[in-house]
Amino acid sequence: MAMKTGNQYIESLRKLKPKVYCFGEQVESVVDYPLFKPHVHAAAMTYELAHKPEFQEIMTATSHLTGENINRFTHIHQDTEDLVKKVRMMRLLGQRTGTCFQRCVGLDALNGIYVTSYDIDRKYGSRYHEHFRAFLQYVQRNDLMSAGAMSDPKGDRSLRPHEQEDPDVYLRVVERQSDGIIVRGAKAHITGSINSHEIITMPTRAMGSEDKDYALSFSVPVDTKGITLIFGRQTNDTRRLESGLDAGNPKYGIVGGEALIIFDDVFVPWERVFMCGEHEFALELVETFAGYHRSNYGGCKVGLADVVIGASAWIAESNGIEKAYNIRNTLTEMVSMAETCWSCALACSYEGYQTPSGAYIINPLLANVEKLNITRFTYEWMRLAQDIAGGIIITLPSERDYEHPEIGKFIDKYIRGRKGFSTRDRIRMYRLIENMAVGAGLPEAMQGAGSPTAMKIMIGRGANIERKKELAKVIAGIEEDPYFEEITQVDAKSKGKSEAELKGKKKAKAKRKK
Amino acid sequence: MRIVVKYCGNCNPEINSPRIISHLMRTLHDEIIFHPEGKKPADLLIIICGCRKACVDRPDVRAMGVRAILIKGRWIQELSCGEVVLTRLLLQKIESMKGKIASQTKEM
Repeated sequence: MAMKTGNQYIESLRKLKPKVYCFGEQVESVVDYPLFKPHVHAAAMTYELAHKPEFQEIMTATSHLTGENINRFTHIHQDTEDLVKKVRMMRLLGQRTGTCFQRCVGLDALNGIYVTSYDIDRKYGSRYHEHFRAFLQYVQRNDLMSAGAMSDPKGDRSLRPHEQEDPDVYLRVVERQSDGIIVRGAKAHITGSINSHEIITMPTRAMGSEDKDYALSFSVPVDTKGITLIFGRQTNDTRRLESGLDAGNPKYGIVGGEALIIFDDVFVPWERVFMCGEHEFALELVETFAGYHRSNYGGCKVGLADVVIGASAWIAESNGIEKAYNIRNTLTEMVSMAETCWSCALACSYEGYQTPSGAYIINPLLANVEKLNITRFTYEWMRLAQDIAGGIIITLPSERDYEHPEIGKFIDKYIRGRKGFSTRDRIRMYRLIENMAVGAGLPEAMQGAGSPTAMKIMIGRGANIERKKELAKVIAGIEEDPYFEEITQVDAKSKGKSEAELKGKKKAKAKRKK
Repeated sequence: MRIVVKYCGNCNPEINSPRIISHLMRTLHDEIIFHPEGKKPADLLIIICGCRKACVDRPDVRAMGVRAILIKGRWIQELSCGEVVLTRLLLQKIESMKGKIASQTKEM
């Protein structure tokens, strides 16, 4: 089957019947439910742009399994150029949607499991990787969207999975059968899950031998019996039910549309199980997935920064202050921070390497540094957007007042700015900034792909402080510096020092060594 | 045995490659060279990279040896370990390769 267009993706969702709840009601049709529509549109862009010649170079790839042209969101990275194209794709989609387009989580789950299932089979002679490759081919051929589901509810964080009072607070195997397994538990905050075709689960943390029932990875269709999705609320979410103008980004919404996924004794056939009990590989999968996922943020969030920087510059222009020093300076600061994060995204991709599975992985240290920067800089460039836009982003009258036959004219008159900028357009832009800089996008930048602490743990692990200490000891003169000694010898010769003097120096060196 | 050593350049290494090679030079009685002249490949090529990027693992470098051992930071032939163990494993691999070469020569 060929790659889906945006519209074909939307139509393919109609054929699924997931059990989704929102505001206390079961949702009949995900694609027609007004609150979900912007999220569906954002995900649909990952399909649609793959058909546009101007974006094909980065939106598509050649499958290493079939040689077919596929959507890059289903591709296993075959070299560092693939990793680079992936982050370029993230920036492009961030720019085109101004929000989270959700599909990267599934892409990272595919790549993470590809790497780890290979390693598990290598150790145990199991068949997870073979099963996974068959599943991957199915995903590529049908151009499916997969929700990567990692975060468990976790209960008491001081306890390990098997120590929890309620054993279901981490997703687990409750029964092993000849044809598959029965799983119970939940995954929380799962982006794009209501409008995905498949849910791919992964363990959320390192596991010990007593946690082996929790060392689990599998994939099931989103409408599998026993799965319930409860959609999460977002700041100002109901605005999109009221009017287009007040919603800020009515076409694509804000953040990804997250859900709590309940697995109430769900059957998973063995062909769809990619880890079951191999606890020592749980951490590898967590870190591999997290590394891939964190590397995305310097792409997608920078794409969002491009939009909010543009919105801020437009607002400044409509206010007649675009040439003011402080405005130009602030915009430059925003660009500088965004491009710093972009540099990290490119760097961790270019510094990627091949894993035993053949798939390429990013440089984990740089990817974690990148995401840590995102957790800080996103708040900063959004703060600066608020600074340029002013308090009006939280005091603007509603669209209903603007459309009111009696008072609308006052809003039109008093919210007006420089000549040539309509009041309606100014309201649109203010609302866009409000949507992006005040709402759910900020904690998403902080917590998505793991908390800042998780990044710092990974950075600490890869920092190689011992080597830095060695370097410092050489520079401080505590340790020998053989290269320096070579230089000074040449220097001494050029200054006409005698051979005897040089010999003396050598003797002194040997003495020091003793 | 003629062994060629190719360093990656060590921009930001996870291991002390010169220290590992120095240990090799002290332990082995083989000819270890860093700048091979001529086109004849060495019996063994050790590609020693400071990190997993292994930027110097290129076809033109591979052509410098009949067989190769690749070190990528703390990884030796897809096995992760510390520098001391890595050095020991490297020596073991070289010795085992020597054995193979010797038996091949005998057969000939």
